[in-house]
Formats: sequence, structure tokens, C-alpha cells
Amino acid sequence: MTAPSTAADRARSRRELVLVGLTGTAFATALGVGAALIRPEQFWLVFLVFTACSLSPSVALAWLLLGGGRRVQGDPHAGENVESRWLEKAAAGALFDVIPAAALTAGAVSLFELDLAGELALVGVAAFALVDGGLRYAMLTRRES
Amino acid sequence: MRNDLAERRAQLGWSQAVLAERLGVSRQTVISIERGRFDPSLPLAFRIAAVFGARIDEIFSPAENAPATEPLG
Repeated sequence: MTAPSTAADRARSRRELVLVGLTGTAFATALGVGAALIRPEQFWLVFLVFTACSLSPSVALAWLLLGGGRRVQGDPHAGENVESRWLEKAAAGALFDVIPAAALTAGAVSLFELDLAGELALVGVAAFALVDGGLRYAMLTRRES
Repeated sequence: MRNDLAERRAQLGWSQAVLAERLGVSRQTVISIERGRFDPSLPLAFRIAAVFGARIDEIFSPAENAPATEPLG
């Protein structure tokens, strides 16, 4: 991304940032209100938590739709980089690790009659996949660079 | 695959970053290709050959322990 070179460019950039910020905040607030309406017994807590958690992705989405993200062009050679190959290998490895890990966890929960909440299990699967994929990617960068 | 990318690049006085920019790939990709740890895609191999004004088979060659293949018929 190149820096704006004229005063008009800088002014347009500031206006664009304000628009992105306001739109993202409005969208996050709407999500927070929607979630709070589903759980009215803890309205303000749910509203604050959902708004705060969705603020960053909402602003990022606004940047993609209304800001500089519209002008970003994809790299035509992105798939030819070694980093893409590492990412694919790490993701494939993580997938094949998640399957037995989830199966072993399901077996343990069943065997020991553990009370595992569904949302906790799903978060655990996502966290395991992220950590496993991240570690695999790190190992590939050290081994193959 | 083996290659003489590093030698050809050095003859032209290019850094890995310069070659990467000319090929449209990351510097790490050039490093991995030169070390024989990453085989380029066919389009990238053609671009490498074009950049050095050579044929692909003049730059790349099978590794020593690659299985030999006989033409059929």
C-alpha cells in the first residue's frame, strides 16, 4: 500500500478511515444488539461482549467493502510461493491430526462418562487445529527454508 | 531437482531478492529452490528459464537418486 502523496489524497484517506471505522462499529453494535436480544436476561453483558468481540472483524469487513480493501489486487503468483506449499502441508497435517484427536476425546468422554459441554468441545477442536497447524507450519519453515 | 540457479544469479550480480522480484515470487521461494528443497511449478520454471535466457533442462536436472525412467515402446 503506497502512502498518499498529496493533501487531497491524505484528506480522502482520513475520510475513508472514518467511514470504515464508523461502519465497522455500527455493524459490531448491531451484532451485539442482536445477540443481546436473544439473551435478554443478561442484555448488557451479552451486548458488550459480542460488540467487543465482533468489533475487529466488523471493521476489517468494512475495510474490505468500503475502504482500501476494494483496491487490493490478488497476487497472480501467490500459489507458486513456497509459503503456500508449507501452508497446504500444515493444514493437511492438522486435519489428519484433528480426526484422531477428536475420536480419542470422544472415546474418553464416553468411557469415563465425562460431562463435556458442546461449545467447549467445538472450541477445543478449533484451538487444537490452530495450534497444531501453527506448529506444523513453524516446523516446515525451519526444516525446509 | 538440482539446479544451478545460484550460479546463474551470481553471474548476473543479482541478489535473491532481485531474482524473486523479477519472478514475482517471495525471496524465501528463491532460497528454497536454490537449495533444492522446493521444486517450482511449471509456469514458474518457464519464467525462470526466460529470465536467464536458457532452457528449463539447462537449469534444472533430476536429483542423483531420482528413479530412472525408460521410455515405453
